[in-house]
Amino acid sequence: MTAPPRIDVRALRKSFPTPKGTIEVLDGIDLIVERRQFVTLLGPSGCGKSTMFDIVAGLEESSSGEVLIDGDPERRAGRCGYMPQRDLLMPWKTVGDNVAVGRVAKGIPRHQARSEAVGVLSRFGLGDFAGLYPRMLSGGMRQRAALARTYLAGNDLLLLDEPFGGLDSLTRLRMQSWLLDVWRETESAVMFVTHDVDEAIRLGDRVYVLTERPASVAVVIDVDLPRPRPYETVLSPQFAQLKAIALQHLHTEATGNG
Amino acid sequence: MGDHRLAPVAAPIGFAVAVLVLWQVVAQVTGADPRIIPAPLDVGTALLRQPGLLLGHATVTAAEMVLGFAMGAALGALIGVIVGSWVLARRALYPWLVASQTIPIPAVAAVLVIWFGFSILPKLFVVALITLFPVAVATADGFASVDNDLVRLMRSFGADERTITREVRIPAALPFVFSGAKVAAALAVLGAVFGEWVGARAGLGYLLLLEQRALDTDEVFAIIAVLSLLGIGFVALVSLLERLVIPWHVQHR
Repeated sequence: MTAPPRIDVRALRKSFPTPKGTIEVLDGIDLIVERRQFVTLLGPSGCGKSTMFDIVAGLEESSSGEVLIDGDPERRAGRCGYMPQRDLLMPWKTVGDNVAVGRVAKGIPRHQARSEAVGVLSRFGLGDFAGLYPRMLSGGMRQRAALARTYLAGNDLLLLDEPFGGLDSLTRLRMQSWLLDVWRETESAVMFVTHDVDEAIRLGDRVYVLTERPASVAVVIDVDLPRPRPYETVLSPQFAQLKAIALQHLHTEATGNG
Repeated sequence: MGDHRLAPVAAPIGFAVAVLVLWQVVAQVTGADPRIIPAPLDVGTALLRQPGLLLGHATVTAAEMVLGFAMGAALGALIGVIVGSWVLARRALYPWLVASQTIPIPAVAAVLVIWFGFSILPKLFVVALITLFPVAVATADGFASVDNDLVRLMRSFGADERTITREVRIPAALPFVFSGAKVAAALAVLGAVFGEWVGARAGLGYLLLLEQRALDTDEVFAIIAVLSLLGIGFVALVSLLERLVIPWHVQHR
């Protein structure tokens, strides 16, 4: 018997009631993240990517459809490491205690969570910073610390919601390389939301291109570019072809509905 | 000019010395009646005339301040947590909390003396009443302003509400609580004096009334100086506590 996918989203729908009527946000999404797979979701801003993340993370309920985490359709909160765009490091905790908080949340004794956090921090290149407060770190380091927290809490299953959206473009490229290294080393499964086409293709094994709201899957692109993928990957002809496909679908969406 | 690291300490002290010198000179040149405006040196002499007496009464007032503050701050923090955590409690209580700050505390003190007599209790209650409101309002604001994204993050990790309160809500609210507590500490001396004025047999407020009736104006000024020192010392104490409890916040500024 083969293991179930880490994330299995089936015909997911979500609508919100508002005073002006019901707003459809998700219009039947099917999506699978296999073990050790890096899946990116590419879509226009405000298309409902974050809503879908909230549902997978157990922060929202779906209107219909199913979400199975490791084959389990019941319990979602606490099953994966969720990371929003803001790093959300707590100013009252040291970097080490911030990284440990996801484990403390699960009832792990604090001293044990702390020593686990120190271990992850040194793997993530932040070993010397465990005792500092977050405000002493640069933007890129804060984001790495937040990812260390997500990883430690996340059971090798990471939901990253535009984690590099707030960084300058150079730092962003470096963080992508770093994330790919971490991912290869940790063998995590990753679901990564972005509205940056290059980022989606460079990082992903598979790219789900979403439509404007209400979001559905416009196209699924399998990225067969070799790994590791350095910066120059984005200059290769194969990359350009994949980017053309993605842009075509995004563009069709942008003009087709308007 | 000069050493800039010393300026934060030296500047206010230098200013105070300059004012005192000027005051002394004006008093001597004009020959003002010391029963109206005593010169600084007269006040200094009065301070040293019966240091034991002043110290004894100061101890009584300080005890009223500290104990009353402890009662008021604890109750205020509790009310603040309730008002800040539950929307219904906030709607029902918050307007009254703000409105209650207009109650003239000396008037309440008069009632408390009728109920509790000349013991230390009415003074404690006056100090508690006067310190309760700033702490309660600040705590309520602190709890209401907790970053909801942090709460959601903790929920995504599977945290229960108790853990979220311990790890997120309380530490996020503490800077607010301390800024309320510092305001309250400055008011504590006021509460203690009010409490003693409506009925007491000891304390600096009580002593002040006696000296005032005797027209010992230099003594009155000496008492005012000691009361001010008590207030400054108490605020400094709360600030020190803040540094110890939330060092991450104090360094932040």
